[in-house]
Amino acid sequence: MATRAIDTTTTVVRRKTLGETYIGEWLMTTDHKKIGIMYIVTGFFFFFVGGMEALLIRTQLAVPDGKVLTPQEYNAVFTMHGVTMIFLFVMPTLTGFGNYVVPLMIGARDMAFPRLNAFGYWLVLFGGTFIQSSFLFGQPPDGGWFQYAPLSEMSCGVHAAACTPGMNADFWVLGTLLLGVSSIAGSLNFVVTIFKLRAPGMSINRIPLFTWMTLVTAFLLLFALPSLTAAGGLLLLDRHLGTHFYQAAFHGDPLLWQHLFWSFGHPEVYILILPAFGMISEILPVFSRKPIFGYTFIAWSGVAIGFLSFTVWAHHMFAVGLPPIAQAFFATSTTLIAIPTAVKIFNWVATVFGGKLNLKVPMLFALGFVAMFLIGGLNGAALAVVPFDYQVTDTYFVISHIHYVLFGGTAFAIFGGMYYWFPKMTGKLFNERLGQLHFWLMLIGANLAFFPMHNLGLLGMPRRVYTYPAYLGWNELNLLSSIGAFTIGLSIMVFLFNLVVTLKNGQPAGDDPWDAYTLEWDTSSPPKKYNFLTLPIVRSRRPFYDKKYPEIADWKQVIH
Amino acid sequence: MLKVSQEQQEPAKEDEQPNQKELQGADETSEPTVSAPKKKRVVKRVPKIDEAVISPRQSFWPLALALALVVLFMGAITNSIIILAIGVVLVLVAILGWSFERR
Amino acid sequence: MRMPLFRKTKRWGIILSALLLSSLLLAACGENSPSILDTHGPIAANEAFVFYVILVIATIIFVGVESVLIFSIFRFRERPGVPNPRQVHGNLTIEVIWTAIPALVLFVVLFFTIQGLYQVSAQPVGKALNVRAIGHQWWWEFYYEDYNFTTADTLHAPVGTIVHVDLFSNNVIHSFWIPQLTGKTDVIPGHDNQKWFRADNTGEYLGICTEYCGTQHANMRFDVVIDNSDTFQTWVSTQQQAALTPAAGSLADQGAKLFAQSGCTACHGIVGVDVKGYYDPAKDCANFNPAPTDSERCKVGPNLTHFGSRDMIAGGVLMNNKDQCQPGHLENCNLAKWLADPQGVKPGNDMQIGPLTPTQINALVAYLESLK
Repeated sequence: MATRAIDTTTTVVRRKTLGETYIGEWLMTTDHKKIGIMYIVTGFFFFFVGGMEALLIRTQLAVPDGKVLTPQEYNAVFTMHGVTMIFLFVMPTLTGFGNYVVPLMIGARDMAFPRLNAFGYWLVLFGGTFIQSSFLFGQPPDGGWFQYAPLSEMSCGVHAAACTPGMNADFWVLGTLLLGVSSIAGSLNFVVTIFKLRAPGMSINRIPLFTWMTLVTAFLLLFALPSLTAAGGLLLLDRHLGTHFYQAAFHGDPLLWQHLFWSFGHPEVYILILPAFGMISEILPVFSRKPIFGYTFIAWSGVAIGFLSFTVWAHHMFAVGLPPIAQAFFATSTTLIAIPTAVKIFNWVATVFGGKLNLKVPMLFALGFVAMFLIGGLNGAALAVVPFDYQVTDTYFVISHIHYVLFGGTAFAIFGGMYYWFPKMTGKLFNERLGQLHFWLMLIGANLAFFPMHNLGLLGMPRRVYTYPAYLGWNELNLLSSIGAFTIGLSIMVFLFNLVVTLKNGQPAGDDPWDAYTLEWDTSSPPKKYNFLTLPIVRSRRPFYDKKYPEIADWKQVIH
Repeated sequence: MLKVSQEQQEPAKEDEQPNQKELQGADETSEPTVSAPKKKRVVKRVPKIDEAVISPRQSFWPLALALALVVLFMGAITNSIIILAIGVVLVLVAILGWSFERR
Repeated sequence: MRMPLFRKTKRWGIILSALLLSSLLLAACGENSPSILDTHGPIAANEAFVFYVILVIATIIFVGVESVLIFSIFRFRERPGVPNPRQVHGNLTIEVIWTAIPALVLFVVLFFTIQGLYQVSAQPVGKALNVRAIGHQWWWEFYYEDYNFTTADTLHAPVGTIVHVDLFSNNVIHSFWIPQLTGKTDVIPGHDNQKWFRADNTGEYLGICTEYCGTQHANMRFDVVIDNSDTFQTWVSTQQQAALTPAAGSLADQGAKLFAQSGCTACHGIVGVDVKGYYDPAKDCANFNPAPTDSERCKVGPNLTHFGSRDMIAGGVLMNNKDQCQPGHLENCNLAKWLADPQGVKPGNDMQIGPLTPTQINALVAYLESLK
């Protein structure tokens, strides 16, 4: 405190060090909150990039014999759409939310390894830039996001045979390697933080479900990424050092790529959805004014999904000619994994049922998630029925499934999380009306865009085609789908507008705008750098609820 | 964690009151202020804890290592031995800098 | 509630009827589509039946869960004066029940899944037509093992007969799919995948490559023509012959000379012109990625001996509209368009030829269409 008396101590006037400037604070930060925000901002930037690619695809496919993109351009665009959305939007954004929210939820001051945390973020930014720079070299990856061999070993302009491979697939391998390192760093951090830095009284049985799901996801990443690294490493060796792992001519096997890739690829899709499950499990109870129904079942079904996800990979390979007994095995394991997922949906509906629903925008997105993910789960279970899969695998039916679960699922959850936690991060509330407009446009757009794809798959339209002829009866459905895609684009414009308007002069949020239950709300908005001044007291799964309503606190009603 | 518990006596009470104010509908976020205690009590003077001590320190090595790795990979993909060599050096420097940083 | 737009029933009525009417629009699409529900063979019928079972179960679950959700949203929304709800944490009995029942339903479905997959994999006993389907970038070749001849873009088979397909690729992975007759199987280099199907009705069906195989994966279709036995035998006999020699001095004869002398033979074979007979690619082209050579056995492009009998050009990117290909009136002739600019029609494909004059195209079209 300044006094007006003469101060006998000397003061030093000096220039700010780098770490004290505004830019320097962000460049050198190890604060999980700043890192979380950077992850989310970067993730949304790549969402726009991937979204532009999606709009290019849908413009090209809106009419038959489209001439918007050449086949080579289209193949690069659909490849990069997948890579960007998966590795540069969903994974960083979910990590960002995890980074921001999980230490606050468990009552910790920061993550266990702050510098490793920052490292993970910067790798996403620079690795993402690296892989996007492939466009500047004119050689973006164009073999699909899954880069099947031997096509990935032959990426040449005209004829596939006998030519030296271009850089395309190399960008893919090296890029995913960098991003994989980032994910491993983040996962290690989450595991140690969640196991070791919980506030006293917060047993594993009491951690919020978003934290649970982040923990399972972290383990999945740690065990799945080695498969991708191996697959990519072997591909690099084949392409540059003359090995023949995937080349049948030299007694290698293209299917080896598929087994290795999907051993990563399948756990990967659960990595993309489990944190979203966690977010929904946080939002629904708060806006229904009652606890999540069946915490134990939801938590353990997440763990079950984690384990089972390593046993189902070949359901992406039902058409490759595996022996029937192997196909029967994978059909069984896929059926098994459907059970915990179904249970979760029922639990969420039961949470809403009998509640007192506050239909604010985060809740709208959470409810939309449940509705859309149900459809994605149903058409996914249909794909597990092998004879049916023989007909619809590699068609637009699968694209419909993917987008119902990843867009109708994860993207809806991400936006729900945005509207839910943004007030905590910035101290400002999003405009409610604009948020509603965003939600409805996005819901309508997503269904318009992806539902017709069921029909297109049933009508024989294959995936990954840069155009289609006019006489096969696919025209109207494609046009409908493209209209839906642009509707989604419009909804994102509304969101952006809302973001700008709110950041400039948004309504102040206060510390606890939603009357929420978990510890992250027991801080200022935005939280102080040190998060909590004192150790929070945790006696149940809803410690903040207990603190606000001590007479009807959870620990007085039930024992967890 | 131990240092903070010394403060638990006074600030615990200070925190609770602002929260209750918010529940009743006040808008502004209030700093933990020393509100007039209901009973007469001796105000314990405890050393204020500096934010910088309890928060993790800043560091530029994570950024440096990330950048170095990307330089390395750029060298690999462009088959340029110079960039690759620079990348290797930068990575080593960044790893060493990170390891020996005083925290 | 915050959404007055949906309070009035009249507005709900408008929305619902609009949705229903537009679904009719969707039903109107799909004519001429190679729909998996438009089945003409036992495998496709089996697989379509499975789809209907799934559709029923999925609809029941969808309607059930979504209606509880929508009901809850309306019934339990916050209204002034409503007390706080009971803080229910869970109910073990209910949770066990709703885990057990879906598990049961799913296992019943699994039983039919496994039964179905075994049924379609086992080729029934009986006489079968053996065809080798070779996936190229980006067209299909069919070698008839029983009769020793090869075609491209067109697969003929007799009705009611089992067709046994051996799948071969010496380049990248493709996938062989005829939606109206059978589900797909991938064509993988180094693997000898096989499948069978049978068509129970005559007609023409569409085959599609369904594994991303590079630039022109989108234009790798094939024509499946199911004939009755006599027509099929006639077709076989014709295909086994060497190419018809055109009348001396005719336009087609000029085309034949152009074909033989302008370099077409570097990539295309015509039996009797530049190759002596047909070859089995699986035996002769297994050295992967042959570079374009003058070797008889592994030409880069399709064999054109009976090109005039085919309905497709270049993987189905264009249909072979022979009636539009009268000499001198080639404005709408697809073959002429192809010859004039193959890269423009199918960018990235292997046919890179110098520009041909209209006279040359006229002659070549006459010749190729004469090769019935």
